[in-house]
Amino acid sequence: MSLVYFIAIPILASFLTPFYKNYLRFVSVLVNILLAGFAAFFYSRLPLNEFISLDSPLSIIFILDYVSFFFVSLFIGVMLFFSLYSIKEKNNTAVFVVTNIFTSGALGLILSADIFNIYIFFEIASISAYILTGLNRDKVAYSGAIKYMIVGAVASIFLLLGIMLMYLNLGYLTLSSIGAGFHTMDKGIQYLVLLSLFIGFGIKTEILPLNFWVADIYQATPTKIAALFSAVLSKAYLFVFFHILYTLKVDAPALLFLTAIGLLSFAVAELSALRSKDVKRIFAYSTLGQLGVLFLALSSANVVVVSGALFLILVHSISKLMLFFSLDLVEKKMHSTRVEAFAGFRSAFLFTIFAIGFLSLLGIPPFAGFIAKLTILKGFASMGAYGIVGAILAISLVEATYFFRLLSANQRSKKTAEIKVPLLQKIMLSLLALAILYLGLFPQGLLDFCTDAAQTLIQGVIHV
Amino acid sequence: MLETLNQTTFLHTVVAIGSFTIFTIGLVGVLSKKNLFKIFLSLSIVESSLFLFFIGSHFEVGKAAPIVADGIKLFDGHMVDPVPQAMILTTIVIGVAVLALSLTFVVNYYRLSGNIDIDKMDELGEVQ
Amino acid sequence: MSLKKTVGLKTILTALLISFMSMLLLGVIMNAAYTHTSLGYDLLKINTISTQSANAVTSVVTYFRGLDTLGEVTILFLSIFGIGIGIERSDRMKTILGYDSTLLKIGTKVLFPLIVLFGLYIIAHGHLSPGGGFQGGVIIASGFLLMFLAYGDSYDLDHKVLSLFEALSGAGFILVGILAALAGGAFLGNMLPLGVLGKLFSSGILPIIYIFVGLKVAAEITVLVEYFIRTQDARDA
Repeated sequence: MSLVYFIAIPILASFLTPFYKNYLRFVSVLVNILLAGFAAFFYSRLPLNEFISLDSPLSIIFILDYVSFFFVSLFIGVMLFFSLYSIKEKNNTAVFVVTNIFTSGALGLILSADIFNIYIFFEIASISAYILTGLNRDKVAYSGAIKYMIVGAVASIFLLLGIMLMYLNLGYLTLSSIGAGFHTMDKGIQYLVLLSLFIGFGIKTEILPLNFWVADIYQATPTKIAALFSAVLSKAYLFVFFHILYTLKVDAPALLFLTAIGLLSFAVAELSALRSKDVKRIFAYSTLGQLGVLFLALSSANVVVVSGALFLILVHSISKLMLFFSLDLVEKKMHSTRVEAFAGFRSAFLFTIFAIGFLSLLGIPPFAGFIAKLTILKGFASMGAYGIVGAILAISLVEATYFFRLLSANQRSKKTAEIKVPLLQKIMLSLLALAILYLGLFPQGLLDFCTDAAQTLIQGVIHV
Repeated sequence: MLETLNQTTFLHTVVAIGSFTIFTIGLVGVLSKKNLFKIFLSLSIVESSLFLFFIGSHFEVGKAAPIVADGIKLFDGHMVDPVPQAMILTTIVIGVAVLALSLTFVVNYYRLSGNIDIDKMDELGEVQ
Repeated sequence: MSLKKTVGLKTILTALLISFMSMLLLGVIMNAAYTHTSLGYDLLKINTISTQSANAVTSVVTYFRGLDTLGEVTILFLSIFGIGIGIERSDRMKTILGYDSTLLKIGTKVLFPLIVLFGLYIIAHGHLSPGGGFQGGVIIASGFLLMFLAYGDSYDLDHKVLSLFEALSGAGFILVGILAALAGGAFLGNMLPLGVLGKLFSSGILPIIYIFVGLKVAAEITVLVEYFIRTQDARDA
């Protein structure tokens, strides 16, 4: 068994599209089930690493430890859910060709421990995202895709500059050798590398000074695809960024800077959401806010906080899938995602789904978001950082304001359209809601795994 | 005089200064041009400057290409590092692919909206 | 016309700011000492025993860092697929560049097989001399470009065969990797005899991978060329 199957098989399925043109949706489901099987196979063999092509540390290395297993299984789960959810869409082969490659790009980002290989997967994931943004083929979609490509090109240029500087000064590309040699480099080069990595990954992880474009892109993207961006893409970049940072063992001031940026990002995003009048943009801003919290928590280098952050990543992915997929149903009926359109639909089922998603994101018991936020706050309290605890709680109030405003707008206003949710969609969305409830009531098993994962993440890549 | 010109450190300096001049030209183009085509071409120029810098920095006086031919019988320290060349080969292909895709988006956008000015792209944003 | 009118104050300020920052960047970069022990030199040392390829760049591209090349081929496929979604094939499409000349048509007929043959030669000798899959693939695609230019709309490309080539060459690359893994080695590892350095049939798996890469690149670039040359002119839409 090879770890490369995680990447090779989805790509193979996309390459062979001409042989099963109209049945690619079924093939995609099969591929994702197969990948889930691989993940289950590797679970009992953690942690492991694999050299590709040449059995020596000189070749590319893939690592599957606790934290990368967490992300791999999360992404496979999300993609399996996506492909099952859209299995009835007959004329949508293009989406599946791209989402398969998108899957392998995201998985490659997680698994690879070679900095240039990470760049390749970075590009694969980004390019599939550009194409998915332009899928609607109208001028809104193209204008979004063009904006995305400009910022994306800037990100990849700076990432490439960082990688080139590291190779020029250290001569090796694996994360472990870069981590070992990073502090022997010239101080100026160290800062330059960190700055290029911050610009490169900061744009992609949608963090404050570099996230001016995000709401526009989410608005241009088809709603279901926006769910994938929120649940998979930004999380993959986030993981890689912190994986590299912890491996490089950066100084405490740099981490403190990231903490401040995360907090600021959280505040600004939630305030922007407050004055937005488009539900899709509100969800985009909410994603930005949650990514700010994750940035803040992941840069703390504290096991409890980081394990809470990992739990939050899972909960946020599930909640955003629910919210965006339900919004897709609303959009199909109302032909708009504006707040007025959102207020006008009538469906008890969708209303419940939206309410569960909002409450979970806010961190209200008994939903899973509560456990995640509680763990993060407990960790910060044990570090003595009460200021951060207070700030997170205060900003969450802003979040609560616009969520409850949306729900009450729907409750109060006159209903214009009744939405009938198809059976398949009903079952899938209920499954997500049940998962959130279950994780909120019985979080212990997952929390233990998250603690192991957090330890591996903070340790960085050291073996070989 | 010619001896100093033919030294590795001197040539590296020339390459670094030259490629970062191109880097500057490209970035200025990205920030000051309004035409979408020109923006993407400027981004491509920035990328090429990085390729030039990386390849040029691995040039060393007196070393051959890493290919056994024409009297060179052995792979050893008298050859230049092959990894940067392979890396740049990879990135050039990626750059071409991304450039083709982005220009197609620009063409399609122009066809639908009749606009190629980045300041006039107002399809997205907060609804009033 | 004064300079201010042609360039504009904002542009000059941006240019000054960026030049200043680039100079800072340059100062930092030139201050650092480059390393002389690197991955590339380590790979050169083991190149003869592990690949027997005469071209070390080819060994790095197809073998030591074969996964990067797989990613690169995927990116090429992906963006050309994305271009295809955007450019619709319809009856109204016509070649926007074309020259109607008998001499050109006859000359092209003679040249086209030679260009394809030369491309195949470059691909097949990738492990012996400069060149390889990407270069050879682009040469083959340039042959098709010549046909499009000379024959215009009357040149019919069989899209079924083309997409079959595209699919099978990409899949072949991955299947070779999977076969190597199933045979007990690493993914994209070598499972064939290495042969003697300098011979055409040598270097184990390397030429096979480069042939797949070359065919894939040729097919993809041909598709790209056709998309771009047979699209409607943006101005008369």
